[in-house]
Amino acid sequence: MYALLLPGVLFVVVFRYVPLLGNVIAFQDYSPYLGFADSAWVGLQNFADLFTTPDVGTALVNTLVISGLQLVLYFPAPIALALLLNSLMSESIKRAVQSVVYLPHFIGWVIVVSIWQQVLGGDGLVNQVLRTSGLHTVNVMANPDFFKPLMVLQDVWKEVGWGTIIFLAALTAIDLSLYESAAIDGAGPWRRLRHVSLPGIRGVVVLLLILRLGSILTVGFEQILLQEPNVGAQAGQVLDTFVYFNGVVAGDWGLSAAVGLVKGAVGTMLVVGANWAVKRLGEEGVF
Amino acid sequence: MTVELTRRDFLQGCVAGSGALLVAACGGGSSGGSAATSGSSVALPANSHLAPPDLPWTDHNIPLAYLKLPAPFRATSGTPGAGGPLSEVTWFSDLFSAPPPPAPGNRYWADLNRRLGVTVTPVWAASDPSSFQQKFAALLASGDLPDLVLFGGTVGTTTAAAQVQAVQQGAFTDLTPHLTGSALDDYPNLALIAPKIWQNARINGRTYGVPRGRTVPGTSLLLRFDWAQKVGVPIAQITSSDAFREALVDFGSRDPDGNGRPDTWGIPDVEFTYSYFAEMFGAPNGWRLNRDGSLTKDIETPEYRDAIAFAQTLFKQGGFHPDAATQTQANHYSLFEGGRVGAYLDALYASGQTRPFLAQLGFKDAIRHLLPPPGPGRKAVTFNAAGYNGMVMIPSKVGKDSAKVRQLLKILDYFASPFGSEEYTFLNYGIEGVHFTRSANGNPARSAQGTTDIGDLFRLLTPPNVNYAAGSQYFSDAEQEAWTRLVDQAYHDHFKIGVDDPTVGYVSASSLRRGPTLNQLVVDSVKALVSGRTPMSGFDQFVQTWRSQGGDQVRKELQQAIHQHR
Amino acid sequence: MAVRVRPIWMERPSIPTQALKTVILLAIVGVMVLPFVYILAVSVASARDVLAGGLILWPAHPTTVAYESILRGGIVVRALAVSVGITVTGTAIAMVLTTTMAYGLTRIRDVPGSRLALFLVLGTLLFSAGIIPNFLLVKSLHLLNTYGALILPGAISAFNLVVVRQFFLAIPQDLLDSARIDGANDVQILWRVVLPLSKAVLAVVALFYAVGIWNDFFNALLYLNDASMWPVQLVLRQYVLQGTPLGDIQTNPLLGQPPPPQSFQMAIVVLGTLPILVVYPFLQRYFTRGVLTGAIKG
Repeated sequence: MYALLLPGVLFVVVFRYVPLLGNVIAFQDYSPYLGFADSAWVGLQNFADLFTTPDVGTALVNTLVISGLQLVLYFPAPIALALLLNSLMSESIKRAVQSVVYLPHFIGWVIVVSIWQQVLGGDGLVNQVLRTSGLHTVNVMANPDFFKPLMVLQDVWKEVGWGTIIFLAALTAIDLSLYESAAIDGAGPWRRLRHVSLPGIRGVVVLLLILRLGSILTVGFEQILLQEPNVGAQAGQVLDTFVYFNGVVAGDWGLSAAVGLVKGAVGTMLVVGANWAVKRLGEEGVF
Repeated sequence: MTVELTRRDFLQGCVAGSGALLVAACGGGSSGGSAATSGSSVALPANSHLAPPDLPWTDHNIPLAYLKLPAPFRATSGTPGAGGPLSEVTWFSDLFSAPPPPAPGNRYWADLNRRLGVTVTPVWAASDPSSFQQKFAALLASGDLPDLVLFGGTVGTTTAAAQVQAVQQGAFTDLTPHLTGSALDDYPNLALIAPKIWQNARINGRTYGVPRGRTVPGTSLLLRFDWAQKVGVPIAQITSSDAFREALVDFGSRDPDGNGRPDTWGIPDVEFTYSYFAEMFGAPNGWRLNRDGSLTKDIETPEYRDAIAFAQTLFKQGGFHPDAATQTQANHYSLFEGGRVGAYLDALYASGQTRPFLAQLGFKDAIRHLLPPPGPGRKAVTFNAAGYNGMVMIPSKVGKDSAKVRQLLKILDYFASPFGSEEYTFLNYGIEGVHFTRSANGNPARSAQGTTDIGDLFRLLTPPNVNYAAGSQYFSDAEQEAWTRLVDQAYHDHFKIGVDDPTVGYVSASSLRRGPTLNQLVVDSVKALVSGRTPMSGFDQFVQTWRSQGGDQVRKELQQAIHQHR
Repeated sequence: MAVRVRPIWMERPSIPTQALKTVILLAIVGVMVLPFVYILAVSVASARDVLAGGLILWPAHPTTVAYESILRGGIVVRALAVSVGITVTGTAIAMVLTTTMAYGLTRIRDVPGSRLALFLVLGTLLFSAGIIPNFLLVKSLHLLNTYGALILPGAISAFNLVVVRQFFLAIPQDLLDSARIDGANDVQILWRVVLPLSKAVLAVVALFYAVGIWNDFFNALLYLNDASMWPVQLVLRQYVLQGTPLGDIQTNPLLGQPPPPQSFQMAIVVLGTLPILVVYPFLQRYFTRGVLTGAIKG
């Protein structure tokens, strides 16, 4: 076994953990020119600054709200679609639909936003129709109250197809004879879904859910950066864009690293907690 | 002699013993091949070469205007890089085109190396600010900066911090002794860059880089003259903010394109146009430097408040495009070109991009520049731009050797060769027959091979813009001349009432740290106020938030910086 | 037309159910495909069509000028070759490292130290270093300006590894035990038993890695100074900027008018996506049913 493990461990240590040492700049007033050695040490000052910066509270709240919406809407969507596809008899229809639904995954966010703008924007297709019919126009793209659900909807549209791939692969691993025995026992399609399909992919679902919790404070960067100006920082700022403005643009590398460490700590707690809870419920955890 | 002369000194009077060539103002003579035409009162060093402009050039800060392609001349002598210590010059710069193919196959690049006397090797960064700053930081941290490094943007409250911090910590050479006073005579093309531009490119009083000049006169509003006629508010009558608003609202409600559909509006966006409203009401350009040395931010002035109130009313009356709050910079011109909006704000020097559109509309009277019509009881102004975008710096490791500095500056001097010179033609168009061909009136036109081979190799440092329109495929000669005169008049009119931003060229710790967030706050709040999401009564709250979230701190520090380094 | 034979135990779905399924699927497919039709349409639209405005579903005056302008000069073609090369190599390396390590982590109770290794991997999901430390590492390993810088740092993705491990864990223990009884060691079990049964997940993860490498442009920008080594996504991105209306770029008064920026952007999306669209159908057949059927009974 060690022959199998060793190359991977070596790789992970060299390419992931050695650079992680660079997070030491979270405790420094780091400047790229002076480097690690000559930048001043400031202890926990960066963390203190982080928690006293005026907009960090808004950013945190927005991030958590979007994350919550993602768990509720974005997480189950590919599962539902995978189950729907799985129930199709015709192999070719199934393949055709599959080959189409993953297309939006490949379009970059710049184009995605532009397309949504052209359909749903103030002068978009929908509103043009509304306007010429004399009805009241509605601009969902510039509405601060709808911003967070809008982000999640865009995400669902873009990724639901791609997300089905892994669930479809899991569904193929379910032994067909299980369905047969369930049918013989009198179970109709919905009951077979509940008692064979869902339990069959439970392992993958739980795994992905736990991993999702680990990155709960990461909700997408480019998508939000592009559209935050439409609704203002109050409604649109998330942790990653906060770090962009205050860390990268403002040259405060220590702050960026500090935020990274905080995210990691929170993620770890959630993953460990979720894993423990899952084991308590009788499932296999991640570790 | 240890008096340090600034560029300003040349222009303010007859300075003896500096080798300056003064024309008209001081009764000096002219030497052949230099900038003297009657009506020019701009002083230039004796060894500068410039094609005589065809329209009177009254201020160094206004672009030169040409009605026809000037006769070619040489702006440099010899090979700039020859005899210097470096045989290969690397540079870090942004890339706006596809990367050009490498040297042996690329005749342009090979010829560029020959002309400069060194092998040039660019290290490209993408042009989006985030990637640019991150790659710069990575190179800096690794200790491996190229010989020439581009400073992105301008120095002031909108600068990204990483590069300024590096400068302040000593990562780059202080070029002030090389680029001021008589030292600048060694670089005749760099001396052609306007004094205001040099001044604005300083960092707290010292010169660290050679600026990529643009123009000092800033933005200008292009208005659909034909639409204005159609809705009954001809441009000559737009002399007040109320008349302007009336015209814009009419663009939306009176169907100026006559197609029967409600698909036209006045202003395309909020974020990139509201500075025009501020100009209309005489607000300061970013900040106002008061006589006692204190700074007042524009949002704190009653003029600015009036401008926002005007915009809010305009919005309520339907003068804005429905997507105004979400418009991207890349897109707002296409709305104008697509005939959806009747007004458009952009840099004056970018007016040329409208030519295909103008040709479509029929040149005469379709589009005009509109000077900001003043608000009631206010005096309109225009905001001067910093005049440059980016400057080229030399890392201190390289700059320790002043022979290298001189060699690099000579190379930059070559890149800055002015319009019409043989060097300019090569840099922008390449080798005749391979990369470009000449049309009937002598204007060069790039071939496909040209665009591929040249890429962005010429853009490391570019000379300031000139006003030249001849040779465009879209117009007759008479139309072109009329257009150039129009734009020239616009430059003069705008510059006459231009005001500067006093904080350009100055930075402080908190202007770098809080700057991006504060700028974002202003844009967000303006959008919210203009669209009516926040009522005007919330304006004071907005100013208060700006002040408490770092604005006062930035003000205090900038006041000090200006006081110290003026 | 490949229709599976309906097994005896599966009922025919009722007409309303079929109708509902059809409606839902049509809606989903429509919402996903229409943007692509739009993208394709705009990519061949000429300046006139774009100026006319509105949502183009097929342009009145199609032209391939955007594609020509991008493919001219051979830069994009070379970049495509580069991308294909690093994607194939990178995916191969990644798959080898990932599957070996994933299998190595399937018996964390029996193999001492492997639980720690699992934590090590999970840790990389939660914490990451910034670009500066990564850059310094790549530089010190002399990988700057080499293709290794694009392939190696991302060769093990913790997410993919955990997913593969999950699928490996689901393989019935008796199959592994019987192989062990037959005298096979761990490597042989992996090669002869585990991998053949895992075609679905291997196809999925290979696809994930391949797409990840194919789409990356930032690492190339950061680590490759020599522009002739650039992969296709980075080169294409530059064309987007080239086609953008001049905001600050110095207006050269005599340059010709480029094709409309929108058709540039869309042509780029098409060119950048095409190779994956071509490859995907070949991988799709691995996502079929019944991989394990019969294995248990046997």
